[in-house]
Amino acid sequence: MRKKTLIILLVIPFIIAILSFVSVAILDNTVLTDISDILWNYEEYEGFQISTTERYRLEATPVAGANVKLANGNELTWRVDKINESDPEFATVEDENGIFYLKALAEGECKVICSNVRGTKSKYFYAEIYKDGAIVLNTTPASSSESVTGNRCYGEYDIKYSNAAYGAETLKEKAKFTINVKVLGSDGDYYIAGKSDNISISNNKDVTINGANDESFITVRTLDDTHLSKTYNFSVIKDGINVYSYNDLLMCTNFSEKGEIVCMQTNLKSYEETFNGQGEYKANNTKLFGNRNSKGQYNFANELYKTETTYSHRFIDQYNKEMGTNYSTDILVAVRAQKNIYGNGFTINAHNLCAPKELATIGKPKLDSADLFRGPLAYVTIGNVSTDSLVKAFGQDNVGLYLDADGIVVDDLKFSNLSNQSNVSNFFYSGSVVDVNAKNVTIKNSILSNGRTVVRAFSSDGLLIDNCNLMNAGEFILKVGSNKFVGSNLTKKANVEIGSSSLSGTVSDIFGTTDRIETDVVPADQYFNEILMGGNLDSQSAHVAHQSLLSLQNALDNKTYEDGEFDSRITIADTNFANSGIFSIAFDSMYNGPYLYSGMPSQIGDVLKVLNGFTVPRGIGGTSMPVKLTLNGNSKFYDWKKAANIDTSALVETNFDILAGAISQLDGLTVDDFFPLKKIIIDLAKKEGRIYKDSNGDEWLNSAFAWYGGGLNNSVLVNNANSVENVFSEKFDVDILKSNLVGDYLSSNANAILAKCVTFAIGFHPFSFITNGALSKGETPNIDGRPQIDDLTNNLNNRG
Amino acid sequence: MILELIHKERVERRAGEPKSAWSLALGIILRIVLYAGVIILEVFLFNRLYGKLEKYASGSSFSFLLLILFSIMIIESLFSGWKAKTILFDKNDRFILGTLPISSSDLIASKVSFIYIQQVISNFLLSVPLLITFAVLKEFGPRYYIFSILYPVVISLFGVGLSLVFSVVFEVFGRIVKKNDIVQFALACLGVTALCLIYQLILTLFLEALAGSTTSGILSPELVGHISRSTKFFVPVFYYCSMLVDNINFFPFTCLTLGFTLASIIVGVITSSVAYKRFACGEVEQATKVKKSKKALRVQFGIKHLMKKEFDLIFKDSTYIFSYTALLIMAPFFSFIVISSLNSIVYANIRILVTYFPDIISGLNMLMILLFSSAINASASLSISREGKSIQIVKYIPIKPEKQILAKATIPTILSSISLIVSVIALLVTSNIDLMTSVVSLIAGEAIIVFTNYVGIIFDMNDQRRDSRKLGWINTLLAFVAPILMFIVHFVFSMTGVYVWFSYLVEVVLSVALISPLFFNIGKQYNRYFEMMEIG
Repeated sequence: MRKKTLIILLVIPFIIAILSFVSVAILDNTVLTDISDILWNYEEYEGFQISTTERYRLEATPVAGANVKLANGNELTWRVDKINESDPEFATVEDENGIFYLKALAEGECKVICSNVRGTKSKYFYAEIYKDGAIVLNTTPASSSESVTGNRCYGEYDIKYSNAAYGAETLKEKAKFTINVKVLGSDGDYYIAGKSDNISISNNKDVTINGANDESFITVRTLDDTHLSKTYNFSVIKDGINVYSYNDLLMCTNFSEKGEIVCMQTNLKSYEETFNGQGEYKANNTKLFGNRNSKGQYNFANELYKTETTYSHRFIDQYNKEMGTNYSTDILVAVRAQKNIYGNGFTINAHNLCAPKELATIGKPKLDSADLFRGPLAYVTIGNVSTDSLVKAFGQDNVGLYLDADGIVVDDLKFSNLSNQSNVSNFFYSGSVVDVNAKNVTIKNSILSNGRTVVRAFSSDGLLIDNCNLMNAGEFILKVGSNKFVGSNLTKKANVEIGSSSLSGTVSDIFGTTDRIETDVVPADQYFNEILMGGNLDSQSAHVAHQSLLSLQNALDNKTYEDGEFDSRITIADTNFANSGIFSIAFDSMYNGPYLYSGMPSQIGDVLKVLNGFTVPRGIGGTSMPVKLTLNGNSKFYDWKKAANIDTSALVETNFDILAGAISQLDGLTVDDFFPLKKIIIDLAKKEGRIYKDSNGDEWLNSAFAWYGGGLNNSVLVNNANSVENVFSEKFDVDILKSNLVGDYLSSNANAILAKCVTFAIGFHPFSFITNGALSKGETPNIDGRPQIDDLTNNLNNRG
Repeated sequence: MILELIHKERVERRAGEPKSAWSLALGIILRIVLYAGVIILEVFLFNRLYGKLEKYASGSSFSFLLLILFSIMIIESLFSGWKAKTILFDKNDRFILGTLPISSSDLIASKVSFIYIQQVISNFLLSVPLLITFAVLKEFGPRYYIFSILYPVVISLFGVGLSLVFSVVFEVFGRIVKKNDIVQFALACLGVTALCLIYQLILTLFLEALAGSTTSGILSPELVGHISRSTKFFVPVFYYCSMLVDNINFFPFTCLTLGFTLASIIVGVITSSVAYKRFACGEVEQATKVKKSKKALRVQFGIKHLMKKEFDLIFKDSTYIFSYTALLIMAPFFSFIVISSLNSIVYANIRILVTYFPDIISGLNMLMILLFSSAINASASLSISREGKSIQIVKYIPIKPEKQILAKATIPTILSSISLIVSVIALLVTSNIDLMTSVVSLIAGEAIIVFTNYVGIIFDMNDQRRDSRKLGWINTLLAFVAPILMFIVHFVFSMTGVYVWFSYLVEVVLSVALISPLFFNIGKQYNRYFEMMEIG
């Protein structure tokens, strides 16, 4: 081959690559995050002898993921806390150029805490300060050193099984653990001086649990004349199963028909957090989340729990029927709990399952075919029901911890779907951290973090989230809503405005039936087509059109509940919210636009029907039952974010920008160009003085509450949060329809048409928001603030 | 005298180029476009890499710059070494110049100077843009830019020494290898394999840089760390570049740079001079030896023997080994690399187009398969030209022209077909293409191969006439046009929503139409053009 021919051949793939690439505007949503762990060699109880000359060097190592950007204040610091307020100072910590020493001063017990300076991550041990001798008692398995309640819970039983599989035969044996007693300051031995009746001890150290007792104890005493004693208090949970590994957790949850009460006795974390470079465990109280073979592959596909979505999947069913496809309506669940979970301060990090194989440093990650968690199910799409829809509104997402039985209590647990990420967009496909699919569930003293949504609670009447930190969400931290909805009532009589004229009739007279064909001419469709293609309107015409469209929307709505009637009542108490992708708390409601009714305006369908995989939605929209959320106590919102980084694609995802860029006529189009929700929020917040501009010119907003618009949303917030750090705004509406009609925020005719398409799909009711953090002149908000671990312990202490 | 000798070298290198002003101008423009494209590509890649590397550790971008410059220097020296081998050890050159009153030192100096000038120009085009890009990103002062421009002048001196050493190695190696065809073939395959792997690396880097994704797949932190620690061995590039950025050690680094450069030149000149004299003397002795043939030649006329002759021509001619035979064997691997890379990265970016026009990807894959197959085959399709001076024998031996032509066209057809089949099977088995695409690619690919070999030979015979319009370029052009035409058909039908099976049907019909001339008295045409061939 001649050289030139070869060169041309070699260059062709580069040319194809260049031609096929389009410049897509990628949202740079990176935040500064915190360390994920503190490693040390201390046990839960340590002894330190008083010395006037000597000090004890305190050592610990902070752990942060690769490629995360740490916020300021992640250096480690040490302090001593009193166990009782009235205690004298038993010890102090001295800081010498970043090296910390413990100075033992007086006999007694105190709490030694190592945390980052920001206070978002901490660990503690109890220090027995002694003069002549002391006796300390530790247990195997070791504690988490991160318990909020400080009370260790053991289950009554340990389980044995030959293989971890659904329905496998399990044997419940009496739970056992070991106490490791050290007599300090002498060579003396100890004896068991006392114990609660529900346990038996052999060889002075092997403890067998014989029954439940919330106030179990073991007292050990030295044999010599010092008679030093130590009492170890703990609880034994009736029917509880101790979980020492991932398989144990599976046997109590996904592989158990009715579920078991879980008492965590180990952390279950990601591979990087569990093993060091040599493949050894980093800590003896941490195991791997998942079963990993020598090739680095996991077996999650066979360990997940799958269940049909509880949200509407009518469109997927319709699509499958018309297209002959078989898209699933199941969600995937990492851990399905049907009974209580006692976390003991341990961490479950489902990163190995929920994270895409290749995380991104900027923008959304690209999914690999092996990734199991691939984003929420579609509620409705324009185009293919997959990750490549042209427009997609979302249904239920996959789940990390699925609470699937009434009355469950989750206590003192740390659960996350991903390890800490700087790029918030990495949470996009990671699923909801907790999804509550039951009534009267309580989540308390826990830290839930790192997912697309942190807590999703639909039709979760009686849910109580108490004394928790909810942090780091790709979209909303807490999303509440209802699985109950009703479609439009075709026989409902309605008076609607169509332009300047009125029309009376039933819904089917005005809109036709949901299965109408394009050639069936109905008044509403004609009007919608006029609006769609009519361009921008002057203010008077826009007002008329706005009223008309709202009256048509009211006809489509079908409110079957009374005022004051709610599908669920949810209470949040003493809970902190931090770092959402959009807003902290969202009140979801179903979209109910005419496009979801029967593909109106029909011109949309006329254009899109050439696309492979396009189907007209029919009767997909509806009116959701409302939800009542009560916010109590010392709940705070650490949710300042750059206004430009609010990612509205979590509400309505569009891939028009990629397609448009490929066509190159609408190059650079982003979702904000035709769904200007973010721009309107920012402008309204500026008017109210709710935007903080920093020295770099970046605009910051503290985003607290959001009500979905489009469909009818009568959910209610009762805000009794009494923290002085909260300064909430009034609830304000963002009327996208109004701005679309006059062409506000829309830079071209094409954008205007696209924007109207979106509103015809979602509906015409406005979105509503409440922000936090009104600023007086010159005030600098605590932008980098994050919930403290101490907040949770302080809340408990204050309650007595 | 030295300047005249350098000019002579330059004229000799340009001997094969077209003489008409228009062709010359076009050639110059294309060359400029090609060089500009290479510069844009390397600057783009480096710019993207810089941002990612700085995240690993500040300073790692400098290490990578050193690695790239060192690699360019080594590759330049290897290529220069190869050219130097031709320049220094050219037999004809020695026989002509040996009789002239030109001293050996002048001869060697002129050749070395020519190699040096070539390296300076190459380094200027390849290395200086990178240095300037780095300077812009790091906001260095004017001194850095001046030394960047001087970089090719200094480093090429080192490179020349290295080239001279390489030239001797290549010459010695070449003399050993020339005696054994199998070794030649094996080396060609190894060389092309290595090139394929390097191409894959560059293509993947480019695609990842274009996609803006993390490069963790190629550049792990461990590798970055390893490279940073190895930079001190990249002499003299390390010392030259370090003296640009390190004011404190400017003088020691300058001395080290000059020292290594001088050492390289001395070693290179001594080695090449010794080798030059030894080979020059050795060839005079060899010329006096008569090679005794080992066995008596048998005259054979069967088609089987004609095909064996064609086979030998392709496999034993070193020109074809490196431009056709080795590429034939590498074609499946090469197709796999390109298509799987494009599938994984590029096509993901146009996935929305793919979702709604799913056949575009199969069209692109088919395009790549056909392009590689037809372009590689095109180089061996001009079978008459392959005879070279032996064309007289072809014309006058008592064998029917159809028989000869059949033999000539069949061998490259069989070889190219095998390569195509293996490529398609490899891609099908690894799920990079689907069954329909593989079947249609096979049919279309075979049609193009058959056409360029069996019909293209007519163009080749036509080109042997002095006063005829040259038609051989049609073969080369068809190698690109036919696959592109197939892709256009596929693309248009996909965009207009036509059923995919219909577009495949049209492509099969077009393929059959392409080989239809074979069914219209092709034998007569063979005879006619064979008769009209002029020789001598």
